[in-house]
Amino acid sequence: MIAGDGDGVIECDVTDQDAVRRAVDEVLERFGRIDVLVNNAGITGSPAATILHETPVDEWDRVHAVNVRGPFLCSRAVLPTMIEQGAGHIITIASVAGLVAFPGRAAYTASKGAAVMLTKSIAVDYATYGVRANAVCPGMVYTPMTSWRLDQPELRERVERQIPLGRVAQPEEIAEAVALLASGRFGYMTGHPLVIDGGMSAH
Amino acid sequence: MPGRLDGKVAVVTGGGSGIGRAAAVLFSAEGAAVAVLDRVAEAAQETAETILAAGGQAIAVTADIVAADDVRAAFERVDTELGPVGVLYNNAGVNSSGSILTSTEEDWDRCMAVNVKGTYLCSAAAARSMADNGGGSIVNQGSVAALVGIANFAAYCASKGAVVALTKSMAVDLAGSGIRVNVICPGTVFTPLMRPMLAARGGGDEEKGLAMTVAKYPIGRLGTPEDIARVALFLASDDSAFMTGSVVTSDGGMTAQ
Repeated sequence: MIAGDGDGVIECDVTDQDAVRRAVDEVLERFGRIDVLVNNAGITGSPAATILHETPVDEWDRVHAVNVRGPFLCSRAVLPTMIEQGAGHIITIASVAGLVAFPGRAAYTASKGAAVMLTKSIAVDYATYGVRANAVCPGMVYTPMTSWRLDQPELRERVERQIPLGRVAQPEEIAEAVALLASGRFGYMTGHPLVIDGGMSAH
Repeated sequence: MPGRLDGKVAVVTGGGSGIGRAAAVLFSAEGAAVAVLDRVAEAAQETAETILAAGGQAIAVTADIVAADDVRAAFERVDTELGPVGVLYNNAGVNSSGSILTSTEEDWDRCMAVNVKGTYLCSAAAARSMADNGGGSIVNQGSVAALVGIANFAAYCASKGAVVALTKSMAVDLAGSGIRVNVICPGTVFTPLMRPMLAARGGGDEEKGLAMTVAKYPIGRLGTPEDIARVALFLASDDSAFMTGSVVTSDGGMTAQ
């Protein structure tokens, strides 16, 4: 279902091909072009999605639908426009879990690995059309997805001990990096997973 | 408009040419007082004068980064004349030529000395000062040669691989002192350093060597010094405050293939 409310808000389930198509059409109708797509929507899966053999199959499917099928469908829908424009930038929010495994999070880890390689695939296949693709790989960020854990002092301390900088990121720190990427300042960067993790994956 | 490096003192090694020169000029435009460090005095001077002429603050420092005494004296001068260093861009580097079968031992030693030991010496000098002054940002120069093997570039590949590993080690060890350490892995950037290599690759024909090199980059062009300098600025500034130990490629998609 899409409900354009006139304020630039479009409701869309990124796993629904028709909904994505309609959303992109609406954006094109309003703005006439699409320069940047940020594939940000993502989920970690329910608490039941843990180590692989205990992960419910429907949770695996749901995580991959949002984290992999979503960026695929959204990218697929905007690429013809970007090719026509001869320019565009697709930025996918992956995770440091796409580079090193998060313990007890098999479905999420695999889906973010796929998101990183989807980014590289787009980068290689569409560079000649002037379209770039990069991923951002945040470490632990304080968001509604993680606050349940980070609001518990013992759990927060356990998380922060894994991070050389000794703290989690604020959403704005990731958003600012995405904005800088989107600005085109890093015009020679394509196919890159930009790690913003406070050093978590460096050790 | 406030600059991204307002009030910061930045040291750029190899600041006399190529990426280092572009970074020194950009850092100055973003408000930093820049120490242009180069082995070649005239090159350092030329970059510093360009910055001064544009209304920025800069000093030219002649130093060979493989010599511990030179490095110590250079950082003392920076501290005295500009203040405590807040940003270090370990940009200085040299190429090598040949595989392990065809290159010389001298070539290997020189490459390792400048690219690895030079980074170590300058980082140690800067980190001591940064740790005493509330932290800072160190940006190292890696290369795509740290990530994939590049033909007839053995020593260079090994040296840049070492820089990437050193970056992660420094990131982990220095985080507690408020010092962030990240590394840029540029793809081929057209700098004066590249010309002999391009000619060699093209069998004496620089244009042919250039075309052969560009063919490896999905984006269809080589990088510019400014492409890399803008990434260095990002890593040097607080825009990247949650990044440390990151390996940032800016390679036109070369290593995504």
